[in-house]
Amino acid sequence: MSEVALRKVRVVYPGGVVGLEVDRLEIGGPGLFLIAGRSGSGKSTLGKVIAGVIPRVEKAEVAGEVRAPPRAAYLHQSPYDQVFSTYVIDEFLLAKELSGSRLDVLEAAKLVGIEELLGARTSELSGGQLQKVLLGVTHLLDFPLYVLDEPLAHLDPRSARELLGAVVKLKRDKTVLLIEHRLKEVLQISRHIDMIILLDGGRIVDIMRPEDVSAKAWLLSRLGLRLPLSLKCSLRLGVPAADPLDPAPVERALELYRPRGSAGEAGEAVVEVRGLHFSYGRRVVFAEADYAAKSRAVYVLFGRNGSGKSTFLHILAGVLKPRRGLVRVAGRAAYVPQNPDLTLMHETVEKELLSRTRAWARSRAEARELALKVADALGVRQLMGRNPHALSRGQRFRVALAAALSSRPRVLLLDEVTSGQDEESIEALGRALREFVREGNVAIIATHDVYFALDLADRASVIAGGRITEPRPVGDVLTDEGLLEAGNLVAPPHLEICKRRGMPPVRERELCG
Amino acid sequence: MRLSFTAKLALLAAFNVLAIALDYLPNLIALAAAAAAIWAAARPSGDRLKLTALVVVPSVWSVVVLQGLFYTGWPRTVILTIIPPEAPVLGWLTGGVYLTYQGMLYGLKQSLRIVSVALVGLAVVWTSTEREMMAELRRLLRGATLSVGATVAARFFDVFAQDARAAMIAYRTAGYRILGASTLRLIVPLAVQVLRRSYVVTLALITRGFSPGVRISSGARLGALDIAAIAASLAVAGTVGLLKLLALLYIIDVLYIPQLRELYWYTINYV
Repeated sequence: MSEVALRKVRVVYPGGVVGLEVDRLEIGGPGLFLIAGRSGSGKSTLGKVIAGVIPRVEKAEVAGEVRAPPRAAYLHQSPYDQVFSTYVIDEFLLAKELSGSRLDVLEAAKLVGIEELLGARTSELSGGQLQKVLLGVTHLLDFPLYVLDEPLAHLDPRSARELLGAVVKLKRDKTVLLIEHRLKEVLQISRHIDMIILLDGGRIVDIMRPEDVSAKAWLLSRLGLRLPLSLKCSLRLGVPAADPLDPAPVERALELYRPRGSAGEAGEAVVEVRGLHFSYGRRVVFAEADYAAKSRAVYVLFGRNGSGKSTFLHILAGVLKPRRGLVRVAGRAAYVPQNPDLTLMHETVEKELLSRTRAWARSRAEARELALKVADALGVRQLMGRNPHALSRGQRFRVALAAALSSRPRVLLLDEVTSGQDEESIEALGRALREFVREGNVAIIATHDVYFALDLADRASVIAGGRITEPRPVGDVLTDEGLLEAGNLVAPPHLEICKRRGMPPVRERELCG
Repeated sequence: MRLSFTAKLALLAAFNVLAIALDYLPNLIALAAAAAAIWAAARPSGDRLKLTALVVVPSVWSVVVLQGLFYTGWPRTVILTIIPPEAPVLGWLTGGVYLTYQGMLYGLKQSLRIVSVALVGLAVVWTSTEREMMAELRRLLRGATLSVGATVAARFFDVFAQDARAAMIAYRTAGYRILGASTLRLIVPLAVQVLRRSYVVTLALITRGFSPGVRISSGARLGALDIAAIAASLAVAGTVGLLKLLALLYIIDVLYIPQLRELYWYTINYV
């Protein structure tokens, strides 16, 4: 008998919005089951119904038959909000005391490979390590079913790989439902996946085995999922891929690749930093750091957690004052934090954008016209009458970006904004950035997302040891072993093939865009 | 701090009693100094220094100035005339607005009370693990909801401060002025974040098997230092509380014990 079974299930949220309609779904355990779909496709709703979060915690009407284990672990995407304790060991002991579990803490920690972190402070752990702590804690409680809701959302590629390793261990004797749209990373463990459930518009559109992924890559692409390069090239060139990691389509795409010439001339200097010194108390963040950014280009800043990426953006925004050094920004800067929701302050999307355009437009009509132009560019025009906080995560991100652009900045500063965003939102960001810099502006983005950086940025720097490396083409940075190590980065796999073939680094979108 | 959470709670309770009971300014200054020493023993980081300033400075400033302006007791020594009674319209409407010495002194006493309790409270939260807090609060409060609420609030206070900072930076770079007409709008994204986080916290608690009915162990046994700290806290707070109670009963003509005449005099003038 299946571990989980849904028959004629319909979930309606307060306000009458239908979140999910499933005619029939059966999931047998133990194993790893991937639930994929774009932002707002209903994949989280499905996970919450199976885990019992809906209707026990979240209000929604559930009609139909849902059969699932009465005890299930539901892990939300943000590990930072789910950890209570200052020390890892206390997180385990708290769960043990709350639940009365008799299982061994050390065994649970070993299962997910964090036994050496038991004495560590939770605030010092990366997002991936925190996710593993949460998996270990839930293992202690011996749940038969795990629902992991976009656990990779806040993780850099290296942490994502580590976490997926822990998930593979877990699936040996548990039923694990993995909800994700970052298939670029998830499909690297495709041979461990037992079933893939695809959703769109609140309905299941396909249920496939992992070996069918290559043949059905067109469907995954249509659903706005971030695919591995091999599948993208396979779709573009019609070269079959044996599996999602098959290098053959990438090799063929590289054979056919012809450079399209340079991206255009760099403009005038807009940002100039010389001899920057900055410290928080005794902790020195920057010592004699130099940096320069010219107009008509997108720049990225790489660096380990705590290296000073956000601090540097705050200095450029003018809200932190350096102890010493020259910081010159020609024109106004707009800043979008890692959590773009923090910038949304008005009742409707329209008011959000108008509040920014009115600050500099000569008339109300001009303010409105410009707000609509930005809304069109980011695909949020149809949302103008909605409350921004009631929108989906991807939509909220695009509204926040539209609001920042509406203030007509010369320099756009973005802090880790691709975290947790689906392909559609990242593409919208890419288009908006290209348009923004074409008008003679500069965008500077702090990120861990090497795929985004390689595809959409022009130049990259690494912040390490209190210095900022000179901005260089992103491909050059991602093939420099020293810089990869300094920034704790993992280069996209196809750059290795480029290197082997004696080719310069090639962007994904040039190969199969 | 190597004290157990129980001992720290006893210390905090003692400071609360003393902050209410003490009225003699040098004693209140001594209480605030002791609180500051405890706070400093928690070795606050740069961010926590700023957080403390954010808690303490507005409290002291607003209470001292407000009492200086609106103190109604007598005598009142004017040290600054804000609006003279002969000023057109406002002078006639208000009858004059003054900053008074006695009012500011009264405000200083009140703010020392607030600061003493706040500093010890911050030190207790910063030096205790969430597990200790939840276990002890559940034991003391005999209610899961309140203990979890208190623990989560303490845990996410720093996170809220970080959110507020990020929102403020975005707000300023969007061209708004801090303390401008639309500053109150900053509350919207922060309130939404609190609601979203509360939801995630609820899910996390349920996933950990939290249930209001589950009993939790009472934590570590008390050591000699804990027992000494609890005894000292109870003794000091109990003695001062008792003295003030006796003095109060004497003042309102309910109880007078002639043998305690010296004690009444001392309490009324120096406690």
